[in-house]
Amino acid sequence: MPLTRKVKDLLVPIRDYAVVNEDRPLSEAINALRKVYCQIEMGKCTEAGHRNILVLNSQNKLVGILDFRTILRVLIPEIAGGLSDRLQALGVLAAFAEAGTEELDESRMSFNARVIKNSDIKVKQVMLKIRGTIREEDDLLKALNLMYGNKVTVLPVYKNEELVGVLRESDLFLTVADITTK
Amino acid sequence: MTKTGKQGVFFIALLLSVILLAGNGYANEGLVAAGTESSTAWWVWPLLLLVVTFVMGIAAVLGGVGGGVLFVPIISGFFPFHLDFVRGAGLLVALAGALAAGPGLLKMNLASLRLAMPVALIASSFAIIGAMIGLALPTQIVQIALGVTILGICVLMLVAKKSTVPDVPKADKISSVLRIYGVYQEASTGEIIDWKIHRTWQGLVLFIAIGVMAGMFGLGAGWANVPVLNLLMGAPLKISVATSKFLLSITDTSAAWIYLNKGCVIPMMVVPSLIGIMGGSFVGVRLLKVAKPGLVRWIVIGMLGFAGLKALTKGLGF
Amino acid sequence: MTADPNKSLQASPEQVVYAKVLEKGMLLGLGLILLSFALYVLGILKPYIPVDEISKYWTLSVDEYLRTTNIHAGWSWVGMLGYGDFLNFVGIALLAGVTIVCFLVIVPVLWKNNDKLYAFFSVLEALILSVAASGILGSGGH
Repeated sequence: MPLTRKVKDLLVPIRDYAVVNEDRPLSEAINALRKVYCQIEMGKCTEAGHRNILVLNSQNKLVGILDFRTILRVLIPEIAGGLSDRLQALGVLAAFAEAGTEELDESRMSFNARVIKNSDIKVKQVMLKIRGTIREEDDLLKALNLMYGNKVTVLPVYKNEELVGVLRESDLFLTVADITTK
Repeated sequence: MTKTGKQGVFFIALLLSVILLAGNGYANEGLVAAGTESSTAWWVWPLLLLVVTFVMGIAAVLGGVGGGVLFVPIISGFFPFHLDFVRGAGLLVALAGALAAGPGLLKMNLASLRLAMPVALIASSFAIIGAMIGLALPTQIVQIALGVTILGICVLMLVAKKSTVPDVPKADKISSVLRIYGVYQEASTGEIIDWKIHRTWQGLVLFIAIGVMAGMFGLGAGWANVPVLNLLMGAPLKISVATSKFLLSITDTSAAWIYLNKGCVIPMMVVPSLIGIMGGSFVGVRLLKVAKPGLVRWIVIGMLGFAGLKALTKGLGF
Repeated sequence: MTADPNKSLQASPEQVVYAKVLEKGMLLGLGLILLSFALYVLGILKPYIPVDEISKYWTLSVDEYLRTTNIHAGWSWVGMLGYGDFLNFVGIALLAGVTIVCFLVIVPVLWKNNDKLYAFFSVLEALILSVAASGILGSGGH
């Protein structure tokens, strides 16, 4: 039965996964993520790689994770941010407008310059917390329950105390979906 | 709605409020002193306050005039509330606006905490003194002083220049010791520029006067903070505006507590005003992106001048 | 090479901490005010001064107001939170008080970064604001 297979059969080894140190700027994380996400094939970015990047501290312990949405929330908060980000941007614009200097507001700044400025922030200030990890000897049913119970799309995989890989929702998808083709 | 359509709506709303206010203001001149049973339903005044402060919030954003400087003159001029309560409400309204913008300005490093803190120490201490004086003086005197100050503010707004990147040849001793300097990003080009300040002592002395005035009249002092930070001390306009707004949150906190502890806060006045101004400023910001009628600034300064005259005449007993 | 934090476009750590505390306090304060005001005007919590009588008092000077309504100035509102109108003071006090909390919270951050002078400034500012808040200054009368 496919679901009795173990996590270690499906995981992506850590060496194949993008990682970044928590004290580095976001721009470095983006670079590392792009390298893994894009396999340059004939000059085109073939989206074969992983869509998130793990964050390690200086002792190489896993402390967080960054995905596309989180990164965009930081780069373009006025578009991709949540309600509080957008209210904050409005409040700041109101402050400049009331002084008659709305032309100085960041939203009037060139898009590119804003994005570059926003990417300077340290990874550890914006990364997401890890919600749930799994052991490589655990079976896939447990992985499924954990993943959907915690509403995550990747689960870091541990062997004893060591981080050995990542289990992704896409891998679990095929395992379950393939049942229909049997 | 088209651009002109939006402008039209705004002007009509503004005009309506002016008429409403003038009408009510004059109607209430005839109101006998406390104890009279008002024939209007209890919710009329708060609702009127909500509408007027809403328009005020929009006008502040579109007109480039702080909501904190509009509130006390206009509300005290055209509403029957006593100046004590108007000042209490005004401080809380200005405070709330500064608190709302504060986190964003600090996180984006536009407001400089290092610049703000020494200034705030002076301004907040003297705001306390200003508040105590303001509550101790007879109301007539405060009205006259308020009227004169408002007229002065109008002149200042019409005359004062702004310097986007002032020329600061050398940081002065005290700002170097306190490490008050930084970098910011030019809006259009994205170029990164160093800034530093000078004439720090002179600036701090002026903030004594600014603090006293803020506390005495319940006004938001943005119109004063920015020129001192920008033109006198040489901080870039962007940093000055942001730091000024943040500074208000500290100065107004100290003054607000004095008024609060004195009993000058009536929730039925404060809360509708808060909601009105904040709602208005958010709508104003939206309108700003569409069109900025240059005429609004003139109308707003005009109304402010009119309110200043009204305060003066009230104080002189006409 | 340790970069000068003031030469970075990014906000200094104490600024970020201040901003975070400010944001939470401000949202909480505003939320509480809206809630308590709803309870007040909808009559769910009976006010000390009935809503249709308040207009009699706001034309008076604050001294006359306190005398006529028998309200005590200062922190006495804490004892009157059972009334719909006075419940609003919780949110208002929170908005007025969040800055004090912010200045206290950044003291350890500044101290850790060896910025003893500004840590001292922070404490001083929190003290000034607390003195204003405490009501010990009284405020004269007309």
